[in-house]
Amino acid sequence: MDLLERFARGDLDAFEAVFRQFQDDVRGWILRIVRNKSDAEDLTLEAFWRIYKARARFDPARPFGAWARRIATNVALHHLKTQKVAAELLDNTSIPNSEDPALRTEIAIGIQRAISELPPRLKIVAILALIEERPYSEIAESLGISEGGVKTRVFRAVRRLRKRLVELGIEP
Amino acid sequence: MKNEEQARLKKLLQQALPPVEDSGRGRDLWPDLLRTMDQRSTRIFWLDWALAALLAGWMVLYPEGILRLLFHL
Repeated sequence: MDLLERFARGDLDAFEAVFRQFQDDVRGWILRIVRNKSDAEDLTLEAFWRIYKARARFDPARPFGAWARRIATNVALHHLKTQKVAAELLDNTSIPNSEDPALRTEIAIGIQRAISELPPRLKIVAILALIEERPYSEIAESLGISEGGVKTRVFRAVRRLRKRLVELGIEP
Repeated sequence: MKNEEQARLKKLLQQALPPVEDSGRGRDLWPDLLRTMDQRSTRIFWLDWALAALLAGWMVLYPEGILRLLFHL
């Protein structure tokens, strides 16, 4: 019986082996979405807990990585829904080009606010597609939607962001 | 939405929020995961007891329900 079959049957040693193989990939993926290392670690634990609970539903013939990423994306999406402030995004703050430092800070804060105000389903595609520049096929697979669905959400996110940035006095 | 407008917006977003740097290897989370699994399993155990208590209470209040439950089991 191979490793994934043993995992699906509840073998804890097999689960540990699978975990060690995929933990960095899952953590890196979640980190791209939530943009905070501490949160990413907590959410990685949550994701693998859900993976373990759902082990009986996993088909060993299918790639584990894609299935794990799908669960991890749902965990990250749930986290985005409960996020209250854009403060978490400030961990990775960089200042857009501008001569005036105060203006640069204001622009950065405005952009972060605009992103944080997006509905979670649009925020996640905005982050993955526009900031992290992940392939649409990868985003689609992780969200369980079509590539066309990703494109639609990106379009809607861009439209909302542009409108919000203009309202905040930032010309996109 | 024109491609160049989207490209400009993308550049602005990336300047405000650059792609995260991920070295690819973090600390080993397995001990934490084991701890989490132990804690969550205990919580589920207490939930089982709570459900059993509810069922017992229901059977006391509605004894005829025992026969119906046995029929369906």
